[in-house]
Amino acid sequence: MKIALGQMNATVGDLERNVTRMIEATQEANQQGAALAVFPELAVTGYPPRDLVEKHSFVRRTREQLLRLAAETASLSTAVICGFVCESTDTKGKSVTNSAALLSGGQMLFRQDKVLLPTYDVFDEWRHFAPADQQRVVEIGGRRVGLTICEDAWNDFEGGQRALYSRNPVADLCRQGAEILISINASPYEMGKRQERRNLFCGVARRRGMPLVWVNQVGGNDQLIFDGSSFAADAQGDVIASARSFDEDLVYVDVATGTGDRHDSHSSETEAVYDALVLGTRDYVHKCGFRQVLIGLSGGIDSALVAAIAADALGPQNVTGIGMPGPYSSDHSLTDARALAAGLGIRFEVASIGSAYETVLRGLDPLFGDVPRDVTEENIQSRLRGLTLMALSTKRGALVLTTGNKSELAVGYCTARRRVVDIGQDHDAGGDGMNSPALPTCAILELCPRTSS
Amino acid sequence: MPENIFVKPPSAELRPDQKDTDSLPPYEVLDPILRGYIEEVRSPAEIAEAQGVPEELVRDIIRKVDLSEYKRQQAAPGLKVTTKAFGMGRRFPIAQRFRE
Repeated sequence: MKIALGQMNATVGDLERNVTRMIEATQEANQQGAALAVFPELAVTGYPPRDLVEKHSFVRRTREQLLRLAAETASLSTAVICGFVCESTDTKGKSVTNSAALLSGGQMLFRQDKVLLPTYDVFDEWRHFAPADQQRVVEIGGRRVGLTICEDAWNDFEGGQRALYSRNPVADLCRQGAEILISINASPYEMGKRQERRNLFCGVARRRGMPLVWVNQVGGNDQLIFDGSSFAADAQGDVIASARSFDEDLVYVDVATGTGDRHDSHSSETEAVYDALVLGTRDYVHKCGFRQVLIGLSGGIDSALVAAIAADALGPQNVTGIGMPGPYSSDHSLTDARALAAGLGIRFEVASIGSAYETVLRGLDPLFGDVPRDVTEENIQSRLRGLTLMALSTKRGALVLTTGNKSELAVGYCTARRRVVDIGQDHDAGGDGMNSPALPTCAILELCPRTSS
Repeated sequence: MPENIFVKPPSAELRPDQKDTDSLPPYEVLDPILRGYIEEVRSPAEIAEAQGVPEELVRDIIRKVDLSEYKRQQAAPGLKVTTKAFGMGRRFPIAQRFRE
């Protein structure tokens, strides 16, 4: 049985576009002779939809789009599995479930709701969803398929680890005679996670002695970056097909012959985290409806890295660096920032904060009295830089990327409303601000050689 | 409190003769729309009918609410006294395209 792994970048709430992407991918999979096209968890809505699922209109239109997906793939010989938010038929508990649909011949032939709802770290699914009350295997192309949604298959491991849940959906499906496991996911990236997942799921395939198809969402949604990295393993737990990381992909695997496409990418974690930040930055800017960004360039390493990420994410023509010298800035601040901008091919402009700083001090000094100069005056300078960036942002409709690193943020070496919470906004255009990618300084030092070439 | 604080029209005083009502309906109209959308999770049509205001106005206000999510996520923590407090009580994505 040939299966297409449809690793797509869903935009949260863009139901029609997300479904159109799935229709196009299913048509292509049909031409390639796939019996089944598998798309990620909540592929219709994008993950995580958060409190959008409390809106009746959101759930109703999700259902309408799922039916459109069924209708527009009805004539194809490729069946579809995808995630969606489903209205619960139970009169008790939460009103919606996190569900997977099997669509074929214009009908929803089967539905499996998510059993294990993670509520830790970045997940908050008990807030929104009712858990499945039962699990069933489903026959597809003469094979008995166990269908799990993300967390459902994370609780199946060898002894020694503490199980998070008393239920193990994988074991339950195996008892029902599942021959293939299909897992749809929205599993966010963190450093080292790709290998951890592969180890875990290849272990499931090996111990259970059945092939496994694992399909993940790709793309940035607010703070989260989904890396994709979908794959399939055979019954021995060996990887037989794999999709790229940090990009949409459509790969094929034949679980009967154990052969498939191999699109492995990013063997180095340093390259992976850089491309993760590029993807997360690009998607945040574009999914918020922006094209242009502004970055305060100090001539230091943090803003240089953010500028490099932005240039790769958005194209250098969409990035502007702003030098904002103050009374204590060294000469090399401006010369280094200018050289960086030239190297990246981004625009560079200068807006001094010197005279504004003097004016602010003149207004405040009578109130400060004879209290000696301290961190207060330092903060005024960084806030004036924030003010400058926000003013340019509003005037030009460009989003501000902030440049604080994680170590600074950890110890409070930043100024509220400047480095932590920069806001770039244009009320009518519906502007957005962004907390910049926060990285430990050691990661920045590791990343910079990669970008200097 | 001086009586004038109660009777003068709200203004940010950032332009000559600026009033809040230049860009927003008066609070007596605005607040029931916000309550319907944020606290009661009602649709634009339901709110327009219940409040006797044009649906177009309701949609415009809702659009402003949706597009301002990024500001609420960067705001200082606020004290909760209503059923849907911004911050912990109402959690929406920023980069999302769903429109009523």
